Amino acid sequence: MVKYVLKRLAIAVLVLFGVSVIIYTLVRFMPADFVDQKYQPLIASGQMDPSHLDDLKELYGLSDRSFGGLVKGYGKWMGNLLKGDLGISFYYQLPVGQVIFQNMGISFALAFISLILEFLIAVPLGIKAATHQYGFVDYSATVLSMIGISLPSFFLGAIFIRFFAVELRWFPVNGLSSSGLPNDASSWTIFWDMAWHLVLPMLVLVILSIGSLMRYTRTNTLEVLNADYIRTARAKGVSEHSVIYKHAFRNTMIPLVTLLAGTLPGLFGGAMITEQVFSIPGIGQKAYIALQQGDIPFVMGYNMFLAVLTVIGTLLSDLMYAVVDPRVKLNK
Amino acid sequence: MKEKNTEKNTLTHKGKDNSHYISSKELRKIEHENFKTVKTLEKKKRRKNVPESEYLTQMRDPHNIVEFDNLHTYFFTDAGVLKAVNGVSFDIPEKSIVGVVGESGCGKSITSMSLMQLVQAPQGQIVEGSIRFRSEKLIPNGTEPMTKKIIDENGNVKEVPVLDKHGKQRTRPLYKKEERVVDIAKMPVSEMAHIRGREISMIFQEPMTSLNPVFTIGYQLDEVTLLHVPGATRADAKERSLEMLKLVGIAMPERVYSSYPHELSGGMRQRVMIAIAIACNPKLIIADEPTTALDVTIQAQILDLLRELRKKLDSSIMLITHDLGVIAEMADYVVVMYAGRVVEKGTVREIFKESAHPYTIGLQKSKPVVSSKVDKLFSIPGQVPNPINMPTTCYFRDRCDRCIKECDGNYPGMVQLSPTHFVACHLYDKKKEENV
Amino acid sequence: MDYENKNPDIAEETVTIPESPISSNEETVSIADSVKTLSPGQMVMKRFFRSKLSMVGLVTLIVLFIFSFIGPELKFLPFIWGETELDKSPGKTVVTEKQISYSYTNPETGEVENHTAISVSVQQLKSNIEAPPSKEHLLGTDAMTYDVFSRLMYGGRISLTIGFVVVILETLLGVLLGGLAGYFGKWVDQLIMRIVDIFYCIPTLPLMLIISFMLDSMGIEDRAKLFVMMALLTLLGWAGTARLVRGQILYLREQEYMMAAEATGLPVWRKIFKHLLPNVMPQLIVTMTLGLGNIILTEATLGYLGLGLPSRYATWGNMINVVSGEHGLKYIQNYPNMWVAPGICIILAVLAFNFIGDGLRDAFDPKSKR
Repeated sequence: MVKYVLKRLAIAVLVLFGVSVIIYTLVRFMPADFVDQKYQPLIASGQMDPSHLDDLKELYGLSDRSFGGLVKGYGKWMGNLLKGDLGISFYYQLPVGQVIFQNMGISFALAFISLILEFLIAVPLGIKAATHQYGFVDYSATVLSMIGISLPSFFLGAIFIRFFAVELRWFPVNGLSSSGLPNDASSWTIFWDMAWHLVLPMLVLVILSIGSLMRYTRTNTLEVLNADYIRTARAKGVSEHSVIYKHAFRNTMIPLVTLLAGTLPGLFGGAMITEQVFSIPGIGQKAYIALQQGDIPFVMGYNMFLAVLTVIGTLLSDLMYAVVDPRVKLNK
Repeated sequence: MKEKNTEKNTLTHKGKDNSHYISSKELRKIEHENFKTVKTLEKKKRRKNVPESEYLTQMRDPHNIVEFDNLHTYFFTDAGVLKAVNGVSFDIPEKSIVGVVGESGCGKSITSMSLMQLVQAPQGQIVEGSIRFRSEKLIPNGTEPMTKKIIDENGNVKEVPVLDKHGKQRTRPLYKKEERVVDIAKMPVSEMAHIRGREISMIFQEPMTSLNPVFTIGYQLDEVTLLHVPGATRADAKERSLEMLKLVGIAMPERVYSSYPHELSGGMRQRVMIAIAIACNPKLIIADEPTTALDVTIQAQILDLLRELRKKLDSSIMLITHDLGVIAEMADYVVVMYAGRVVEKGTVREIFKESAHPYTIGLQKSKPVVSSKVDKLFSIPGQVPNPINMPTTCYFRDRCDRCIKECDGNYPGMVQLSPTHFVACHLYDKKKEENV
Repeated sequence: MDYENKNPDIAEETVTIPESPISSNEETVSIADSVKTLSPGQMVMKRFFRSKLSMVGLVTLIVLFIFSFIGPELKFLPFIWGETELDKSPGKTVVTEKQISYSYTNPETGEVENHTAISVSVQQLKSNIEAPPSKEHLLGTDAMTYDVFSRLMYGGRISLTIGFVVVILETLLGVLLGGLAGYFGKWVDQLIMRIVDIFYCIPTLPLMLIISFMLDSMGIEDRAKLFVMMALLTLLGWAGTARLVRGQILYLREQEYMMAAEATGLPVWRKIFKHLLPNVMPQLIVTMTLGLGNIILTEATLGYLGLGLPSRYATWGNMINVVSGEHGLKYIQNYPNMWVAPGICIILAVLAFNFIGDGLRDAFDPKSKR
């Protein structure tokens, strides 16, 4: 077991190395870098001497565009990383790690609550659809979940804003807090205000993700219900309810639990588009702005953060298998 | 009406085109009919609060525990109505082993599944006939204080009361058994759960996949006791389960009790399946090809075990197999099935020594015998027809080497050759007339 | 239920048709031959066409295709405009109110008073900007005076084309690499699968954003950008297909019939193309169909972020782009005619592909009960 995990981790390190090389190369090849973007207006308006630009580039480590410079830059970034330092964000002027962790909270809260809602709705619905295959519940759940899968998040967000926020005025249009909130508002008021702002984005996230999970549960349940051991359970005189919710459910849960581990990157990485649509200052939005600005340290840090989460997610899901399924033993 | 349609299709299609495939128009028709039929039948099965009178009935012979009477189990498939069991009648007497033989796909398993109401719904449905079963209903009859036996410090066995967490003595409900005859074909699903596992239990062909992989053997065994023995506690169930494991010849019951199915061999798993089947002293055990998936050496062990258990438990066994050797060794009565119908039935002696139906004779000939040396093993030519759109003649006609003129006529009726021996073949029609 | 009179029916049938082939035909037809079954292809087709949802998907897709590929050619209709055809006709009348503060010295008191006046200017726009839906512009015009309805059609062309091209490319790449990995195993497998892992771990959206920004600032020519985008989507999408194909091939290699193929000494290419690939096909077709929907979504997302094709080009994503950015709320509030329709088009296209893919999956599944 330990050996298996170690081997997997070794491979993971290799993979992450590859990822970092690719991303770094791409970021460095972005023609308009941070310095250009930031100071171009100043030069254009004559407030800055163009010759200073190169000095600034030198300062930011962006001047050498050759292959050697690239390798050197990467080496430096890697060296710092090994020391646990992700560098300082050009745009936010703060250590990258700090920016990530400071803005992760709201994204995590959003994703976590949506995930719980998603499981609470999708799993029972999927089981219901499977046990009433080709019935009314099955068809309507299938159609609705398919629509959910097919919705572009930005479009759904816009529709929600138009309808619930602009038309009905039930929820705020965007942001995280009302402008009319008094300065001395109690923390409860602030909390409820924030929750109120998060309803629409959460709804969008849940609607978008519920479909695939429901379909997955349905397929799995159907498969399990056709298994021989379900027939055995019925032959033992187990009631239909127990057959489905005890004998079948335990087996259906196996792939679902492993699916849970795969949601790790989404949980901490933020929902870029949804945060963008609702102007929620989460990690996703921060990353979007940083990307626009050519903020190399932050882009590298953020992408590596996501890649690490993906790797851990995959590893976790394999380990989870061994935990939930007594048949699986990890010894490769 | 369905039969009429399909019948017509076969006939007209023969004359016009030689395609073996169904046209889309026919398909839609089949689909529509199937949908309608299945829906009505399913609705009927899922009703709640069905009055008892609807499925209570009387046995023809009180010595039987199960009587199949003109049972029809159909599968409503896309290609048409598949008559898997097409008018099967036979009895299972008390404390006997009834062997059901036939080639694969002849409806043996579906007959047993019908008895358990386990036919794959919604396509598979019992559409006609009855399965009478002498059932015992449990009726609450007061309570009894619970005690357990312990060995005190002097080594004497002592009975002490079992206390609950409030310090009061626990009681267990008492039941009296009331015998009644039910028609399983008409029973609602909810009632059936009380019969499954308690009065009729089943051993399946595939021990490798028939146990739930995520529960321990112990859990799966205990479940039967907890379900069917009223007032049983977890401890009772465990005690009973271990006893059962010992009974089926498992050397280390404690270890097997706490292991998962995948940790056991095929033979062990089949023993566990048997333990599950006998846990409630059922009156009938259905063994659906219990040894087919096992090694030859294990096969013998399992069969010995079944025979032994029958003596100990006084149960009947319905043994389904295609292995005539097994039947000859185990069964008291034999039912030979072909393409969803019973072609011959009788005592084991009658079937083996005085076999009447050409199919039974063919089956016996195709069994290799050690003592005789032959150039080529015998096999019945052709194969079992697909039971959709069956002809009205004898189904075995095309493969039969003793066809006579009458064989082109209708399907032969049952002819009684002796008090226990019946055969469905035109060769014996004369005998019928003599008897009459 | 008609089961009661089943036997009379059969009897009647035999009586009324005396020339029943079974009883009278010279060359006896065996029972096995009298049974009609379904051919495997027929079975798949039937299961597919029976599923109402896949039919809905298919019809939707055909309608969308006609709409976007034939629609723009119907130039004779008054409401069909070119993709970037400007409507120079005078537009709506805009009333702008401006508050002007001015100071005024009161001649009587000599004091300086501050006043505000409201200047109202009524002006008819020189070109038909942001027109409401009318007979000439079924869905109005956008800020560039482009006709929204017509651009919907052109958008369909691009979105659907990108979808198909990318899916075909990524499947080819995936099958090739996955096939190599699965068939040859050992270090080939190790190498390819690690590359797959790497591509799996790269966060798609951020990467797409980086590259799009890059392309934007490099000022790549418009048409070229289309191709670069296709290449990019392909590059990011093949890993999944490769994984699927490899897994399938590993599984199939263990099957008895592959052993048989091995035993007969077939050449490698024949084994791969005649025996392995056809078995992967059903899964592949399903993945491709479902993948199409995903690509259209990704492309639209990029368009929405303003990072897809230049806004001159009509794509569904580009058209929704109006709701993002500074003036987003204005458009969300006042001009639903400009962004709701492309959104619905995206949903319809993706939904259609999902329905079809789902129907195909059920149809191909040999275990499918119906």
